[in-house]
Amino acid sequence: MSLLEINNLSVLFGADPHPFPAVEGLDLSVDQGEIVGIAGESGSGKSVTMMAMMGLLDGQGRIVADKLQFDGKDLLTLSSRERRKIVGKDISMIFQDPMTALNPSYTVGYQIMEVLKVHQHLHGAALKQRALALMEMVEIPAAASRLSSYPHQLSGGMSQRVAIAMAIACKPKLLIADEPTTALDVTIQAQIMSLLVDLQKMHNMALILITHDLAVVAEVAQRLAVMYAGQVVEQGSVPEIFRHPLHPYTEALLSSIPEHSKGARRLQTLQGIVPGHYDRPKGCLLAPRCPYAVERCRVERPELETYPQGAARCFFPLLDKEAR
Amino acid sequence: MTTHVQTSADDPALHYPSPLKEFWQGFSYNRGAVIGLCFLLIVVLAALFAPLVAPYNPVDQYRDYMLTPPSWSEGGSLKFLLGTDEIGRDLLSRLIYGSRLSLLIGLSAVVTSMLPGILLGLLAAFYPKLLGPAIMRVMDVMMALPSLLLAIAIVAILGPSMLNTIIAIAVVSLPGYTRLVRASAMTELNRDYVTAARVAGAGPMRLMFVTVLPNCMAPLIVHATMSFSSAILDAAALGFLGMGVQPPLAEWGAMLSSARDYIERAWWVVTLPGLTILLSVLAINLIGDGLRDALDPKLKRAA
Amino acid sequence: MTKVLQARDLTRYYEVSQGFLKGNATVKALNGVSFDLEAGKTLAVVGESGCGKSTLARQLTLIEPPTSGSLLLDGEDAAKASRSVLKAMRPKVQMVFQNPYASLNPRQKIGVQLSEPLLINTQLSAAEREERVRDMMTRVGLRPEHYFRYPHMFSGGQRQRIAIARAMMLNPKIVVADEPTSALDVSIQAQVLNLFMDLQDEFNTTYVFVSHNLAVVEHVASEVMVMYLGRTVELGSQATIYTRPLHPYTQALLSATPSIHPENRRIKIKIEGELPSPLKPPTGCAFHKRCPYAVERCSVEEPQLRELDQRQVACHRIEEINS
Repeated sequence: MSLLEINNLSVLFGADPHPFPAVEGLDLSVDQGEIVGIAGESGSGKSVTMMAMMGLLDGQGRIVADKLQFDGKDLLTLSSRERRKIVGKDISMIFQDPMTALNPSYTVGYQIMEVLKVHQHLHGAALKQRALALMEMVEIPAAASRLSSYPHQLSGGMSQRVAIAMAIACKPKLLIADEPTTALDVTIQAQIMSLLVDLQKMHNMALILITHDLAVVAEVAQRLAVMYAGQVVEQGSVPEIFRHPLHPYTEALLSSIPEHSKGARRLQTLQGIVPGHYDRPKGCLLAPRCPYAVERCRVERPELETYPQGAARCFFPLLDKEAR
Repeated sequence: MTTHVQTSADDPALHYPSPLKEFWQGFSYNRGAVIGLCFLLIVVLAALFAPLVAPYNPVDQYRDYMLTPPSWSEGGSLKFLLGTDEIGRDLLSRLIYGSRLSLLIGLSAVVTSMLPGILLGLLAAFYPKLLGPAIMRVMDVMMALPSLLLAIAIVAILGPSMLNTIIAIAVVSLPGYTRLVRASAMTELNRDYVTAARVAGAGPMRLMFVTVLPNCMAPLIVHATMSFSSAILDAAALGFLGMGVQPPLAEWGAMLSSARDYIERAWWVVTLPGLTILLSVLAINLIGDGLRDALDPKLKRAA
Repeated sequence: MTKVLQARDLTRYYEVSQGFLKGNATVKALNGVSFDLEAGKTLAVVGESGCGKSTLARQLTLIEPPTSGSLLLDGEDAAKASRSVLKAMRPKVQMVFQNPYASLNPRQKIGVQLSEPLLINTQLSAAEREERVRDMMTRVGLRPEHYFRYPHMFSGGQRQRIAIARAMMLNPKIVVADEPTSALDVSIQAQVLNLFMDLQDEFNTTYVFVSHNLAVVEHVASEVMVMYLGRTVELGSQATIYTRPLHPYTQALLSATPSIHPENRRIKIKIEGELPSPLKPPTGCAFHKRCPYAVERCSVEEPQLRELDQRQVACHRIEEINS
């Protein structure tokens, strides 16, 4: 049985009769110890999916799903008290901007110890020791003196390490990382990603990596789900999905990355922009921009179909295209 | 070779309402603000058309009708809807004409303190090494003195009159504007679009008034509305103390003062001007709230 | 090849107060940077936060004078220029900023913002200005009917196009682009980069492209300058730097950049630690505390830029490391 099982998740914002579907019909499953990437651009719904699952949307969005199960527990029917027991302990999350993810008014030591107090009920010397051990696990130098530092005294990389320490404090089964390295320099990014992968292996955690940087996913993840305008348009294993993308959007995304067009003066681009609230196409959401679109695509919405290579939401998936 | 971006047929830019409509949507969301606006509109119309609306001349004394209660009380008469004061002047007419003075004083005080306040605030933000601290220290000193005492002192020196009331209130409100504009401008100065204007060659004048100032307007407008109401209160206070508008001009605060002795015998002479002041100030504050709601989200969205 | 700009030993120090009773500390943001710019080419300035690239951008756009050094633009030294000469120089260097949400004035219609550089620097009539603005809007892929719209009515990619249009209004010789695509999605980034390339082909503009994204830099640059803590550590053509990086920091940067295709990946060089504070730069070579090849000499003697293998590099041990 999968650790996380999501079937047909939709998240709707705004009033009827035209609510905005930030996420539409999402299916995702994650096994214990797996690293899964969710990639997409702004407006794809990748962050909203995870926030909805964690119950962090606070009533702004309406969550509808056939199944939303974590570790056998049905997340849809949990009371908020029960949810608080899981969130932060068995599922935890780290965010994009470490500077704002930490409370500026409390020391980092206090914030790590808070997590331990609430979920593991530690006190006194044991509490401090565990906090120190966590700081060392995330490779913060001179950890003992850093316990009493405030977030603004730390650099971006250090703050993210503290956030990671807080996230793994209770040995979670699932760690969700929402663009954890986007705000960091490239050498620090490499350090943090390497740390995350080491920790993941050490604790056999499942890791969901949300990002818009396909290269980061390519180096770290085992599976990848590509999202566009609230839907999953392709799912597959890494590196297959990069060698043989099935969905035109995945193909276009790969083509527009500079790495792909070495030597060319211009990059290949998709015309147009992501549909928003008011201009959602009746048919396939990519149809207005897709170079392969035909009449059927503009009228009918494709479902996510499974093929031997992976799954794609397209009437004409790129099954026999040559490897790039 | 040009790059063409085909936006979809449903251009999001076409869905945006005009700035005025957007403003009204935000403002009218706050019910209190709309009520306040209606009330203020009534007051403004009363002030503008006072000669047409007021039943009597505010300085005419009807010696046969001194201290007549309001029309709905015992002893009142329909001739004087809200009753008369201690020398027989119609209260309703005095309140209507008094609205002219209050609005005039409020508006003048706001404008007289806002304009120099904006200038000083911008200068303090743009020249933070020497001019800035100098200006702010002067403002600090002004703020350290209790505002009403300062106003009284100014009127005492210059002599009681409507003009000097305006000046006194303006002086007292000046530091508030300066600080506000300076803080706002300092935040904006760090933004890229100001640097972009500098790179395009904009000089200090253009930077101050064309580039930065429009972006400081939102908190400024809200503050101006609130200080409009406190100007009315200050004018009433000065009038109450006999230091502001002089009789026989009908000013709400002065009306309160001259009726001090009649609180027990003739409650309406005190209560009605007091109530008018209260409602006007309340209305303006509610409008200020609505303005804040309308203008701040735009700031957030624009950022 | 015509040289449009020559920078020699550009240095910029800032004084920061450290509190009431302590004295002022000096932030050495830029510590002697020299390079030439050739017409129609792109120099990429690469480095991580704190390396001085944003300070360099401010120097090049004439916003601040350098503490020392010279900046020759068309024969005039901007470092020593009078106010009126500087004013005449401004139209030659323009800038595109990183954050498309902050670089446009929220309270001005974009048509007004685009015509402002023309209003300040030329004698054109209002009608002529409007015509030029509409023309430029079409060129960058915007609809000229949107002349009267406010910035918040546009997407991030469109705002960046507006920012680029504004930079190009005066047809400058040099455009300094400070991380122009870092805040954009991948597909929008591709559109904007294409726009940059097209404009360069059409106007022969020289670009100084500041970025920390080495994949983007590989695509746009003709020359690459790698900076660390205010100094140049390596400077050479794009091909040379990417095929044979010599400086340990350049090698680390390139190896840390993730790639989609395994064949493009380099051996990971793990460097520990973080960038030192510019308030307390290390003695000797600024990189020695994190460098895997550091020896005694590196902590004492600051390496100078020298010519080696078709590029300039500042390191004591280049020959030993790369043998």
